[in-house]
Amino acid sequence: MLEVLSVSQFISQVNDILAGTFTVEGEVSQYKISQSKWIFFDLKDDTSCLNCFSTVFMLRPPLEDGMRVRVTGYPKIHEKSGRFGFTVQQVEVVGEGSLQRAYLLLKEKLGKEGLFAVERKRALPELPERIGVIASRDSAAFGDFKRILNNRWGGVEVTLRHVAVQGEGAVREIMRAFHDFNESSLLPDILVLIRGGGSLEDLAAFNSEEVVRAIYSSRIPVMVGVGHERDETLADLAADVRASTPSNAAEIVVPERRDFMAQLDFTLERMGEGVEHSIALRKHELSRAVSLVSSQLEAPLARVRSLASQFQFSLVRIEKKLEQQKDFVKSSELLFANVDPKRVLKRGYSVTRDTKGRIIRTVEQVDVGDKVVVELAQGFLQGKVEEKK
Amino acid sequence: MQAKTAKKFNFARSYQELQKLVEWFEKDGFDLEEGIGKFEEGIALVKELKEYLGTMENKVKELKRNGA
Repeated sequence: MLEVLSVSQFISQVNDILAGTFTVEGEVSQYKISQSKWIFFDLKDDTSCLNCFSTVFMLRPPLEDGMRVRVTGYPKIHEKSGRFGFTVQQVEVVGEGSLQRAYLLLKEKLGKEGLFAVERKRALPELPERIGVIASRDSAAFGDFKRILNNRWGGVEVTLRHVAVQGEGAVREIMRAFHDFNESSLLPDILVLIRGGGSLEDLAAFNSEEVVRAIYSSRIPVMVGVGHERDETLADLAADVRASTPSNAAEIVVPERRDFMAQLDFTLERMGEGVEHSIALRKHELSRAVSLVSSQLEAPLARVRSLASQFQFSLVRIEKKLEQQKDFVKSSELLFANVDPKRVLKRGYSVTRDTKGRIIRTVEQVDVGDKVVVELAQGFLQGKVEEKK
Repeated sequence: MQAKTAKKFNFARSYQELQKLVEWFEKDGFDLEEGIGKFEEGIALVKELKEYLGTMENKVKELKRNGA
């Protein structure tokens, strides 16, 4: 005789038998979100169908009908409805086509939130001293990065945080690395997240919402460099700077020694030019000042010069005049010597004057009895007019 | 280690100083006497920076998981 069970007991026992975690692959259909919380969809293959249930908190990647996914969770009969279903705890999109669509859906969603906005991109430090690298320790990506870095530059402290860059745990490890770097006591100047190229499936972690958000919310500027140039991940889009490859990341993060030295020389050249320019400027100012001063001096100088020459000319004239006067005086002397009355007197003549000193030339000038003075060559005679004839 | 850190600090500072000098030279009409002094400073800084660049190597270490 079989044991009789209540419905609750029966469902509970069946659920115990079903207990376990399974991963099932199939195609999504009838995907819908209810009350922005509950997710329902069917997972199908050619002949069968599985009802799936989840919540938006558990299921990160946006799904769409027709996508190929691998869901991990547990089977269960719901007590209230009696329906059999599969509770999904994790979903992984598989197949290039489905991944491509999942990628585009997430890109659109995060883009709308502004996680890729160009306005919020930060500038990288010009000369970083500490670089935090999130990469796989033995990957070619990290090897390339180190090699190029060492070729180009020196004196940098590189701190590697080893992580799995794909597969199980990659997303969690990368998130954790961002967290730890951001919490470290001596913050790196920049964080570099690198890995080699690969298929969309390989790059899944770099296209995950969690990693994109970790990059977005990092306090330290982030550069992402993935594989080949054509590989574009959502991590690239969220980064402050995107490098096309891990090697390119090293090229961007530090300058090339030779370029830098050339730049130093150029710097000196510019300073030198500055000094030269300044000297040229002073020279120009000086010559301008000199020409200004000399032009201002020119006029008075010219006046002085013409005055001087005029003066010279007048000197000559004065000299001439003096000469003339000297000549005149000489000739006058001669003349006067000839007419000097004294000389006449010496020859025996005399001059008669009245008492007032006037020279008497005719008898009419005097009357009988007037006193007269006769001047001789030697001495005077005084007399009286006796008679006029 | 200590010496290296001190040296590194000098590099960044020297480079900053050099950049400040360049900025100073960008101004119009600076004092010539001062300019020549600063130019000499610049030459010394560039020499220092070049010497440093020629000798320094990068260091690589690993960041372990916090608490692990």
